[in-house]
Amino acid sequence: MTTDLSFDLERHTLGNGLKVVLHRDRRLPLVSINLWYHVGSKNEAPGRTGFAHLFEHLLFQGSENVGTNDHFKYVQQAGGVANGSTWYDRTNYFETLPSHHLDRGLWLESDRMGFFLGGIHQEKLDNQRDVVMNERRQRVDNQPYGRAYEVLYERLYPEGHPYSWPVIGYMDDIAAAQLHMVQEFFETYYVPNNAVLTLAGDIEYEDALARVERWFGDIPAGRRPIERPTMPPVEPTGQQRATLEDNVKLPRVYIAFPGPRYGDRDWYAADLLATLLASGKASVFYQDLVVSEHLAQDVAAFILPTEEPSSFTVISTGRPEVDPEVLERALMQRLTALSDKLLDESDVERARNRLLRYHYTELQNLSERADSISQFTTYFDDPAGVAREIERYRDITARDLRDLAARFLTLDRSVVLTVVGES
Amino acid sequence: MSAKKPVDRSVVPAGGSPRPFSFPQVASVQLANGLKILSVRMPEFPLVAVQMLVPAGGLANPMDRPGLADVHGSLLEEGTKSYTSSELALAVEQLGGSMETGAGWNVAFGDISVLASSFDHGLDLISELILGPTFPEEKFDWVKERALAELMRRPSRPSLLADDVFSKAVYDGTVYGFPVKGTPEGVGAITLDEVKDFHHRCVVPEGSKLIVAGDFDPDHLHRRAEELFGGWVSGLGSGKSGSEKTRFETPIIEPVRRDGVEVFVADRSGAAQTQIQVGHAGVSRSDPEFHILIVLNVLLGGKFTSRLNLNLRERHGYTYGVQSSFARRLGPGPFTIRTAVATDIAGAAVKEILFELHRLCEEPIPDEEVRDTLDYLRGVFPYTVQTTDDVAGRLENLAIFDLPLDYYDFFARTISTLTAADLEAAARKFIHPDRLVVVAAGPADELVPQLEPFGSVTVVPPAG
Repeated sequence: MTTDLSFDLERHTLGNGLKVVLHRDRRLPLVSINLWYHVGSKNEAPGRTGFAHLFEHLLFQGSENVGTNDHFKYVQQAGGVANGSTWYDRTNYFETLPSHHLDRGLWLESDRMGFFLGGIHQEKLDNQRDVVMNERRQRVDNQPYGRAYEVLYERLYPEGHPYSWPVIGYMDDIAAAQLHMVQEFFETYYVPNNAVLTLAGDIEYEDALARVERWFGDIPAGRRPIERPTMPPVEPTGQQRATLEDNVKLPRVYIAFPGPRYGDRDWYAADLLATLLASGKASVFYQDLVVSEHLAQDVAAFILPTEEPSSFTVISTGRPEVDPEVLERALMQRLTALSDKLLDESDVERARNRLLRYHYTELQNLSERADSISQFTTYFDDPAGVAREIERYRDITARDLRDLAARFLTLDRSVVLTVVGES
Repeated sequence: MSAKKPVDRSVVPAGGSPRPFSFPQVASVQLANGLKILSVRMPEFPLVAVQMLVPAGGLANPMDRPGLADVHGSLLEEGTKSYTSSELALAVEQLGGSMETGAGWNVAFGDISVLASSFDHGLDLISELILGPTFPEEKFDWVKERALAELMRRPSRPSLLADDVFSKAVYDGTVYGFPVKGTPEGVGAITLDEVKDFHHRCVVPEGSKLIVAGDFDPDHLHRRAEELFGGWVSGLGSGKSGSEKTRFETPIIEPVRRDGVEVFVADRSGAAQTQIQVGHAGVSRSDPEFHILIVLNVLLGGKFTSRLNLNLRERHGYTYGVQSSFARRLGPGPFTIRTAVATDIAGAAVKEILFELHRLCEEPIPDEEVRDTLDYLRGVFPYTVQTTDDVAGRLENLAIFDLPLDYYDFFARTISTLTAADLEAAARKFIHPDRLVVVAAGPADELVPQLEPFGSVTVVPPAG
């Protein structure tokens, strides 16, 4: 099966340390601008959780030359689409514009990188704090099973581990954010030498680089030291268990294990294993638990793509009449058996083909492609690695998966959370 | 351009000249039995999306069997003449593909996405799903049980709860008054014979559409489609003798008549937030003025810088986001505004929503706002048709509503001529701030006093 994806790209570093990747694809008259700042919720401290994400909201509230609501206005009136997102390891900002408006996007991104603090004030912070508190209610507190992940990962990682708190943060911490924290955070992390800028789409290299240099070249490098948090090791401490009561009608079981870091060979094996087990209707757990045994309403498994050692999580919602303990036993038996018995190579091949199609599907979208390029540049200093990533799954065998399961998916490393209806 | 020239940051940079863009050429072929094939070739990535759409959507649900179309749609992939359910899943997924069957309000669908190298196999499997389902009894029981479990957990999602209460208030007495997934009573009563009968009446070549987008050979597609589907005849007349099976006829949807604003509070005591849904019955997607509603909606609540979002989110901080929409349905689907807010300001949020609706219908729309909205819609179009799935979705829109093949160019041309006066007239004609349903899902004891000023309040107790 072909996995050839030729990626035409160029990389540069400006004098101030900003890494720039240019990727030309003239199929559509569009350009995606994608900026990664290497800062995320892992750079927060306990008591100040959620700040990186709140900060992302503030970065859409204008800068010295851009009015409060004008970022979106200028993008949308040009026919563009913009957004940002915060993750454990990074914060990204991106817009896709008709390619003749490239300068407009570079102006907006460079103005908030270089001239943000002059435009920020208390009223903007108050407004966006309210917005974010509503975001948390909408996504977490008012959703069935909404708090499950934070309860799960608080237990999977040791106390104080930067992945142990949720990216959106705890409500009290969001409410306590102060204006002085904004300046310090900005001056430390929102500097050109802590960022990657990717332009993908309808560009010419020389012209695009000149424009980037014009808009970003004058922004001074940061002067504060950038601290990368240390990750305490996640040691097996014996199985941990928790039960959460929530406004739910069907019980759900979450099982998580500490996993490998994104980019490692083990990570790709874990991704392949998760796909094999629970992605698609032919997947092993779906056929067993949902189709044959009528125990589960649904099942899913995933490994998070985090820069530091990650987590492997399996989730299954029980049928209304099923005791969650029965479902948990069924899942755990199957997971721990993976280290004893080889999976069929045909299942491995099925999962690999699924990932191949998924990969192509994602890369069709210019904005996703630009984001992958920024990611590979930020984590691995290897933008061209995006085109080769699918090769990473190629030589993984059933034996590798058994070996992975033996090292990672063991009972004494597991955290089990059961969510049940309120009594 | 010189790299040395200092930049002037105080003004928005002027853009160059736009590169023209049109929606790719759509090939359209109709077989003798009525099946229509719409396709777009996109050779850049080795993927193909294939969809069969048949006129067996929720609009065809009998009034006492809401959810029948959904159960039927789910069963299409649960066993066919040549494959068991599990064999079918494996046949698709072994080669990296994915498959889904189901039903929305307008149509039932069989979708398969595959790597281009498996395109033929994908087409064969589509014909299995549509022409060869066997509806095994044991799979019927399984699908029904799963559907009932989904309905059981539905009200714990605040947005679904609010939508269900809203639909009943606006469309009670019609199929649109129920969720498209049905009700526990309706789905519980469905029999296997009813599913088979529904299949015979509704899964017919007349009105069905095959959609293909991606990397494939069009001549080959048309040849294969003729081989696979040319012999497809409608199941009517081949059923039991003496039965009066007739083809499904589109029902007339008569929304509930209403003067004034009526409030429904779906009680969720202890909820962390209140889900709000405001609106009324709208018009069919086939309405000749629908393209104006698309523009009007973007201005009101269809982009980040819409009136509603700038007011409720950016000015007041009441919400993470607020959206409006005119549903795209064959019948007169709803016009809705949806948002989630802190419970203590729910009344204030509803007040701002009503304010924006009145303002839109009663005050002139500034030319600049019209221009910004049109520029956004025209400029953003290429962004929305990047992937095979994007393009398949656009073809689906053409197919379901029988829009002309050059519709997207027509849309871009036509909206360019719209003026503030056109949008103002459309607002007055299609938006009715004085005949609204307001639904709030949250703690009733806190919500009722806040919402009483807007109209009569009915509290809907939690189900079960």
